[in-house]
Order: sequence, then C-alpha cells, then structure tokens
Amino acid sequence: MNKTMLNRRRFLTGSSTLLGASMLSTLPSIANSALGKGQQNAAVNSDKSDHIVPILTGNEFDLYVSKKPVTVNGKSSMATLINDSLPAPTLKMREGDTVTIRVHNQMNESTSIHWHGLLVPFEMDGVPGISFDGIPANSTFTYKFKLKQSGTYWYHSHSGFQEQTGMLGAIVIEPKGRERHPIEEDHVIVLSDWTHRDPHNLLKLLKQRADFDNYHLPDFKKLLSDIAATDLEAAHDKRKMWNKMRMMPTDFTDLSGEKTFTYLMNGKTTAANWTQLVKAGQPVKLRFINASAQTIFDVRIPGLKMTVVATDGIDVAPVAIDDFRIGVAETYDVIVTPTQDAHTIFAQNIDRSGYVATTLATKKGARAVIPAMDKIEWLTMADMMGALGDKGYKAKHAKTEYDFKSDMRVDSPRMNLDDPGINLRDIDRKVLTYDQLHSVDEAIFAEQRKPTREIELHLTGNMERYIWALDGVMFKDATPVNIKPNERVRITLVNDTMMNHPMHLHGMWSDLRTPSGDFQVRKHTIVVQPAQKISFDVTGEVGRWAWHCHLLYHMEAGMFREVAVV
Amino acid sequence: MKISKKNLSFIGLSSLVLLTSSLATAAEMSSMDHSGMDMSGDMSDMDHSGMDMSGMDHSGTDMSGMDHSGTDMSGDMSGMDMSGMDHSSMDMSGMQGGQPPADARSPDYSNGVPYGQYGKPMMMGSMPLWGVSVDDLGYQFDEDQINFEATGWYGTDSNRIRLRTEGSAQTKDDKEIDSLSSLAYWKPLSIFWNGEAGVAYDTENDNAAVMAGIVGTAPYFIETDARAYLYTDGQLRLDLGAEYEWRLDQHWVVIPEVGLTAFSKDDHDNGITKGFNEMETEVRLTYETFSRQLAPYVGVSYETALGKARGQRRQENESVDSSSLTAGVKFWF
Repeated sequence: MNKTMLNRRRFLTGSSTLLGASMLSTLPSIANSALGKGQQNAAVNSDKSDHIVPILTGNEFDLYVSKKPVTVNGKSSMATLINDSLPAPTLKMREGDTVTIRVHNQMNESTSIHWHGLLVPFEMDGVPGISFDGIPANSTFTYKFKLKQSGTYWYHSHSGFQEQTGMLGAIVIEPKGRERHPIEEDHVIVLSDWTHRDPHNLLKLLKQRADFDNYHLPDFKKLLSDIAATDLEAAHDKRKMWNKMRMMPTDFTDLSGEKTFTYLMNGKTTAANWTQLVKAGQPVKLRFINASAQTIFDVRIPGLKMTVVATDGIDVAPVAIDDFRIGVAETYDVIVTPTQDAHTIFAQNIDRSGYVATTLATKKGARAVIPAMDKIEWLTMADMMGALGDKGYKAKHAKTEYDFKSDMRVDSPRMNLDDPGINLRDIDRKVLTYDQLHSVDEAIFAEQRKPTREIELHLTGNMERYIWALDGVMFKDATPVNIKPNERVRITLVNDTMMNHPMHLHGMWSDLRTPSGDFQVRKHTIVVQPAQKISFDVTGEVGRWAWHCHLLYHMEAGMFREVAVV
Repeated sequence: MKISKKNLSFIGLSSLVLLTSSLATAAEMSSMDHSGMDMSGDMSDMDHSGMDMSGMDHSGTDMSGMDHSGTDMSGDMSGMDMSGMDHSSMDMSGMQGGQPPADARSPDYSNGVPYGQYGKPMMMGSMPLWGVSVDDLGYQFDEDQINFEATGWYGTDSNRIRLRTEGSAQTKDDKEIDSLSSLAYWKPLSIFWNGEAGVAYDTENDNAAVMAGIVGTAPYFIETDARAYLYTDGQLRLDLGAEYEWRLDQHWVVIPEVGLTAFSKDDHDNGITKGFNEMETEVRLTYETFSRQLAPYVGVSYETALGKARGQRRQENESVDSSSLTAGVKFWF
C-alpha cells in the first residue's frame, strides 16, 4: 500500500508540475466511472475507501476549484472541490522555500483560499474584503510566499460557505533542520463535517429557531430520570436557573450529527471503513486537523496512548493522553505506537450526536471495535457564571453589551486552563487540557516580550436570536482593531456565552498565557470555553488581518473583527 | 375630528402593552435580584426610542377607554414569575440586560483607523433573510371551521417587516372567512422581547386599524404576545396570548396555549362588549418531524365568553362556551 502511495505521489507531483494539473482533476472521475457502480457523476464517493487524497509536493502548485457532486451516505449533492478531491489535496512543502500556488477558479462565483496558520504577507492571506478582492469567477490568482515555519497546517476557502461545502485541505511543511521528534512515518487525518443541506438555509433556520437541531433539549424523560437519580426538589433546582434565565443547558453545538452533519475523516464516512496500514510496534505520527465548518471533535484511539508533540504547527513538550478535544481549525500532532492488528481512530462530536471512525491497522483487513459515544452532561454554573466568589477575573464589560444582542454577561469569568470542557469532565480517561501544552522552542520564548497594552474583548451572543458578536457589536457595525507594527499587545477574551468559540487571529501567533500571565503555548486558534477568560499576546505584523470565531456560522453571524496593523 | 382622542387612547393602550411586558421582565429580574424589583433599570433596557411610537407619552396616558380588567392582565403577566425561588449563594442579577454603568469601556479599539483598500467583507448573517412560520393550520371539528395563524418576515436581526394573519374559515353554512391581518415594522426591544407597529385589517367587522404589539419569551420559556389594535371607528382591541412547550421527548411536545381578547367599547352589531370578551384555550399534542420544521398535532380547544359578553351571548341564544377536538399542522421554513 505504501509503495503504491509513493508511486502515486510521484506521479501526481510530476503531473502538477509538468503535465499540468488539469489532467489531475480528471483522474478521480475516471477512477470512479471505471468502477462503474452508480453515482457516476459524483467526483468523490465518501462511502467508499478507494478515493485517495492526492498529495502534491514541491514549490509550485496548481489548484482547480470547481463545483462537483459528491456522494456522502448514499446521497449526492453539489460540493465545492479543489482538484476534484474531498478533502482537497494535501500540500507538502519545505520550510524556507518560496511557494507559488496558482488557484484556478472554474466556478461562476468568486472564491478565495486562506492558508490557515501560515505567516504570509497580508495580501497573500486570502480573505476577500480584507487582504484582497477575492478570486473572481473563471479567473486565476497566484499566491506566492516564503515559508517561515514548519508543521501541520491547513487551507480553506474564506468566501461564504465554500469551506462547508468542501474547500478544505491539509498542509504539511517539513522543517529545514531535523524534526524534534523524528518519526519515519506520518499521516494526515483531516476531520470535517458534511451536510447535504444548503448552508445559507441552515443559517436562516438557525436565525428562525436556534435550537432546531439540538436533540438534547431538556424534556420530561430527562426530568423523570433526574428525579429517579436524585429527587424532585433536586431535579427542579437543576432546571430553575436555566428556565428563569431562558438559557439552554445543552447548548453544545448549533448544528448536530442527528439531522444535519455526516462526519468525515480524510473525506470518508465511517461506512467507508477507511484503513491506514502501518507497521506494528513502530511509532507513527498522526497529524490531526479539524477542518470542520462547525464541529468540535473529541478524538481518541481506544487502547493506545497518544503522545501530543505539536499543536497548530508548533512543537510542544510531549504529553501522553487518551483523549483530546480539537476545536475547529486547531491541529494536533500525536505519536502512537500501534500494538494490535487494528485500532479505531474515533472522533465524536462535542454533543455526541455523531462520530466518524477509521482504522489504523497493522494487518490488512483488520478492524477494531468502534467504541460507544460518551454521555452528555448539562452545562454547569461555572459555564454560566465563571468563577464563583471573588476568584475570577473581573471582567470589564463594554457599553455595547447591554442590548438585545447579548443575552448574558459574565462578571467574574474563570481563568483556569485545566478544564477538559463540557462532556469530557466526567470520564475516567486522561484528557488533554491547555495547561498541559508547553511550547519548547527557545526562539519562541525569546519572543515573549512584555506587552505594552491590553485589549479586552468579550465573546457575546444572543442564542435565541442566533446573533453572535464581539462586545455585543456584530462585524457589520464594528470598527477595526488597531495594533501598531511590532507592538506587543495582550489580548484578553472573555466568553460571555455558554458555547465554546475557537478564536483565530490571522497573520500573527497567539501566545497563550497562563492564569497568572506567564507564557503557556503558542497557537493560531484558541478555544475559549464558556464563561472563561483567556489572554494571549501578539506582536503586530503589518497588514490587515481577519480575526474571528472559526465556527463558520458564528463568523457569518457577526463574530468577526478586522485587525489593522498600521 | 376625533383623531386626537383616538390617538390618545391608542397611545394609552400601547403604553399598557409596553408596561405589561416591562412588568413581566421586571418581575423576572426581581426574582434574580434579591434586593427587589428594579423597574427603572429594566424599563431602560427596553429601547422605546427604537419603536415607531415617537408620540408616546406616558404622562398623558389615557386609559379611560380600557376596561379595568386590562390592568389585572398585566398583573397576571408579571405573575408568571414564580416568586420565592431560592438562589442561596448565587446572585444572577445583572447578568442579563440592564444598563451599562457610566464607566463601561468602549468597544472601539480602532484609534481612528478606517477599513483598508479592500473594504470590508460582507457576512452572510448580516444580509436580509426571510422566514415563514405557520403556527397553526388546523380543523376545529365541533365548529366546522379551519383555523389559521401565520407569520412571514423579511429583514435583519434589528429591523424587519412582518406580515401576520390569523383567523378562521367556516367549512359549512356561510363559508365565511374571518381574519385579522397586519403588516408591521418589527424591532427587538430587549434580549427576549420584540416590538411591532403597523396597520391591520379585520374582516370580521370590515374595519382597518393601526396596531402595536410586544412579542417575546418570558421566564420559563413562556412565549407571550400582546397586541393592541385601534380601529377607524375608535374601537380598541387588545389581544393577549401565552404558549408553553412542554417537551415530552425530542419529538413529542404538548403545547398549552391561551388567548384573551378585550375591547374598549360595546359594538352590538359585531357582538362585541366592552372589557374582556373572550378566552380561547387549546392544548395540542404535537409531533415534531422533518428537522422539527413540521409538526402535526391533535388537540382540544375550549372557548368561552367573558364578562358582559356572556350575557349578550345568552340573550342572543348563543352558547356561552364551546369546546372541540382539533387537528392540524404547524410548520415553518
């Protein structure tokens, strides 16, 4: 299998540079029609394991964006694909190289590609309306930038809902020198959420009835089981606060696996039984990327300890864990040493309404048991009010957080980084938390200058109205956030909402602080938990940069800012 | 002309509607705030200025045209709060709504820097959207009539135009269709409450009206609406409604609802008496399906005349109250 992969890789590399990659885009469809099994029109069938995500290497790339049908769960619908692949081809690059990426828009609509986590000149960052004008229909845009970093990253469209409909792919940048944790074999694991429904319509439905896709709504059945478990009074007390404040104790995700999403790993459904063959007893590095539009996943490989060695492309001191939560747009590199014939790579979504599983096998055809999903918990007082008593941070609310756009404010948010998060708190396994992540690179420590200024912003929302904002101000009404070039600024985010928000600042690193303000870990996307305050330091990089919640529907609802470093 | 007088009473009624809802909100705030009710803070949370009722003047409120039971209703709405809840160590006051303190920080970190050469991206959620919700399309068996209630809207999070119609169509005898339809401007007033102001037409008395209302979610997720109509003949109508979703599981929901109608003066031609006139209640068992966008139901409805209307109905040999089985659907898209 590895051999054929290599051959294919070499062939694809050749084709992309010599033969022209338009050839490439026809390959999967030829392969599909050769199989001659239904769905002839679909560019990709996610229910089958035969589609191999192309790996493109070198320093020149041609990416073709087009609308093609894909088949997921036996049903076909239109996707936005890059080189006819779901996910898009994995781009393998080398640190220090200057890469040229030609994006050919073959659609009748505008598109864009953002290189998530890569430090590039802002005109190359790929956000229409901020860093460039977008890539108009039927035109080509050439990205060109020097790679100043290494590690696991990804790329996706920053136009409308194209990311939801398939424009996402992995980037692996080999380091110039030696890897900190040299591992002979590594594989990319791209997690994504697929829906056959029109994302615009989903946003509209959420605006009309924000809880329509929540299948954990408090109900009489749950009340009875709570009464059985405790007593009537306790069950009543548990509901009192939520009812009075008109808040939802099970507000884990807006769109769930019950009716909307099918979860994919490397573009495959669980039914595809996709298998990665590896050698028994030999460590393998798995590069996990959460390229979902709206889904936070909890990942584990039952029976195997995972050693986390990097997050968001940055090496961390190795930490051995059983589970990790991966927010949308985060990446984690883990090292595992397979021992059995087969292990299941299991990713359940945060609200346990769905999962995707694939196999890591040391013996061809072997398959391991798929574990049951974990149970849900109700959100707690700490998720609503933060730290009780005087232990929390004293939040400074903006004057714009008092109108209909913010349904709640947290006065004393909690600051701890050791909370595994909702639905992971009551399990016996060892779950990764941010306080266990420590950057190790000396150069990063050297950059930890003392900030000269602090910017506090609050993550706000009105769940029932499906309004998402920062400081109660939706992007359409907001002014840019100004940072001076090379200025070191501490950004403090307070989550006034009951949901987790993976916050991503383009163009510069987010150096996460410990509760006491020390340096914790360097990241590009930081999940802010409900009623939590987090701080991170940034150094102003000249340009205009997007800064937003990476839950696509929150971003589109207004949880977005431009950071103008001028 | 009597316009000024009509306006006055309309203003009075609108104020009452606003007050009713404010009381409800205030009451819930008071329950969270152990120190007691903070009316002033709560009222300010409602954005009166935003509503198209600029002429509203509380000092000049003329409620003479209103039956006193109207005031009882506001009491009822505020009574939705279950007092005596004990939050022990928690103090949740001030977590929702309220008014910013004088020293609240600014959300503007721009230092005067404008957007750059590429402008500003347009977020999908800020574009105008639309929605249609048919809250009821059902048959009332004993009355031989089809009931309907539907709302459509177009606009953004902060400004919408909304069209609403409710009524019934007889399936026997005269096949008469009674409907009350309104076209209104819609605006959020506070976290859980929205205001409406517009024009309406009532086919029952063939009369046009101006209308204003407040619709929202009270504590314990009680969906409430209060709408006032001022007809061209000076008649004032107040519709109050409350609905609750008692969720049995993730698909089966029992929905009890109640609606009350009051008028400001007698109108014998149309069988209207001053004061609270009519109460309609219905309990439906619904099954949510197709992503909860469609919910067929069966229910029982009960309708009764209130106050003087009872006497009038007896005089006219009509029944004072009636009940019926109902069945229909609720859907939205």
